[in-house]
Amino acid sequence: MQEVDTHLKQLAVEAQHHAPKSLERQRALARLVSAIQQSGQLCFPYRGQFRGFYADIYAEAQQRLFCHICEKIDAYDPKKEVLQWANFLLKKRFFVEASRDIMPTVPKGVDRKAIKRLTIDDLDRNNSSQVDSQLTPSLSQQIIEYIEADTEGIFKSTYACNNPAANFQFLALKILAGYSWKEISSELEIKIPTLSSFYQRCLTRFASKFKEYLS
Amino acid sequence: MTNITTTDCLTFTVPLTLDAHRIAQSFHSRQSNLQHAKQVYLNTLAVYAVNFYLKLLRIETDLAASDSWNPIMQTLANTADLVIKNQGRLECRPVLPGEQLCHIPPEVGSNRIGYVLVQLNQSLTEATLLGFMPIVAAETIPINKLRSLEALIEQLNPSVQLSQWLQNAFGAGWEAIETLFSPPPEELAFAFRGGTSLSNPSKTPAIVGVRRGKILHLEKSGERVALLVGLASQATATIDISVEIYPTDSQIYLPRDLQLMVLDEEGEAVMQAQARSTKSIQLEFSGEPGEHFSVKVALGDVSITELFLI
Repeated sequence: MQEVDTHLKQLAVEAQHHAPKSLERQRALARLVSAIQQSGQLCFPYRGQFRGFYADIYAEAQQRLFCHICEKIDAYDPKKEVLQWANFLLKKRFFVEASRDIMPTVPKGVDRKAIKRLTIDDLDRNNSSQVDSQLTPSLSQQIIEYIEADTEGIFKSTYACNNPAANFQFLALKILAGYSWKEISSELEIKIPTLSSFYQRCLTRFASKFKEYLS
Repeated sequence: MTNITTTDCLTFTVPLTLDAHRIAQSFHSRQSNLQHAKQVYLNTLAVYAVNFYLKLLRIETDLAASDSWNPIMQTLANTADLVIKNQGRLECRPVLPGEQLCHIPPEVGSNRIGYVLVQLNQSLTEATLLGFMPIVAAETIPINKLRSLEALIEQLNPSVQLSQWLQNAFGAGWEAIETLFSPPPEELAFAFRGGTSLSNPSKTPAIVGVRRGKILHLEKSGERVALLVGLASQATATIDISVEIYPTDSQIYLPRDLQLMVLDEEGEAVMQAQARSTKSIQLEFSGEPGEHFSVKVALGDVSITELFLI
């Protein structure tokens, strides 16, 4: 316990000794925030309250705390322990502020209830995202239509390895349809790195056209 | 520098707030392919986490210029890049629970500064920055081969490239001598004359020389000094380098006990000098293109290190 405090204090003081944005300060702050987390001694204020919202409030409060520690490291008084300083700020300031911003009783412009936290399991389930795309055509749908139409004829006429079959239009539509690079590579008999770097160059080249069309 | 050994387990877990999920959701909802939509969601969270971390350390990023933040690019490629201002793109790849390898999609450019792997948990409440890989030769990165986040921070603090000085390209903060001092201190004026071997065309026409300076603020002590670096390239590959330090603000002497050190690539001091009643310090050495060195200016327990690449 005491060892942790000494260590954290050393890091905080080290950070104070160097100019903001200097490599030395960045290194000391990186070690400091990592060590604060790894100490496992950040408090959980008002535990048992804010049912259903606690995790959201705590995440927000923690983010604000770490921003404050890094930004205001010069305000740290080495007479106190770092964890004392951090926990005081977390409990008295950032948790309270975050709870005000997140609790649904306070209208804040963004309707927090409309935001749904998805988990990996949600993402694997079919029904999570399809609501929007049934109302309006999805962006990927619009991009497919644009590439298929190829009004200027440039997507089809830009190809790799002197092989007209390996054109951008073909490649992009395959990728958008979910084919793997391996499958496309064996179909065209062109190596993956050759195809993928051609594709990257095309994306850079056509980026502004897509943007123009879709905006 | 400190002798604290925490680098081995230097990680950081970014709590994923509602706001992070709001952004991920807005990108996710524009995709119709389930598998791809999932990837976009995870990529967004990984980039969000790395961006948050770099913001903490005041390393400047540009999300708006990143492909990962552009719905069109998200659709056309499995991209998780983060633009680092004036430096390039850092790839931030999500790692799912239980995965020991991270697959780098072929369409990720080979022009990346490096790759940061971000471990997500099953409920997507937190994102842990595991480590950094500067270059990738293979399609997969094994997690146990990662370098520490400290290597990332060093990589994003690039050295001053002295070879560019010879083409008159100077990075921010490196000023012409006349800009730093007016009038120049007596010592410096002398050094100018004495130092004209850098640009004396009569004897050795092949010599090209340049000298630039930067004001260093020694935090806490309130002292400011000027660090000057000069180089002269001869017809041979060797480059002569001078490192000098002068007082500023019309002071005659350098702060007492101020130290100037030249460190080699391993961070070992190879030359050093300390001010007593000293008007300036000059260290000279030579090196070859491609070599790294750094200059450390220290006063008490405050120090500033500048990295250079010849």
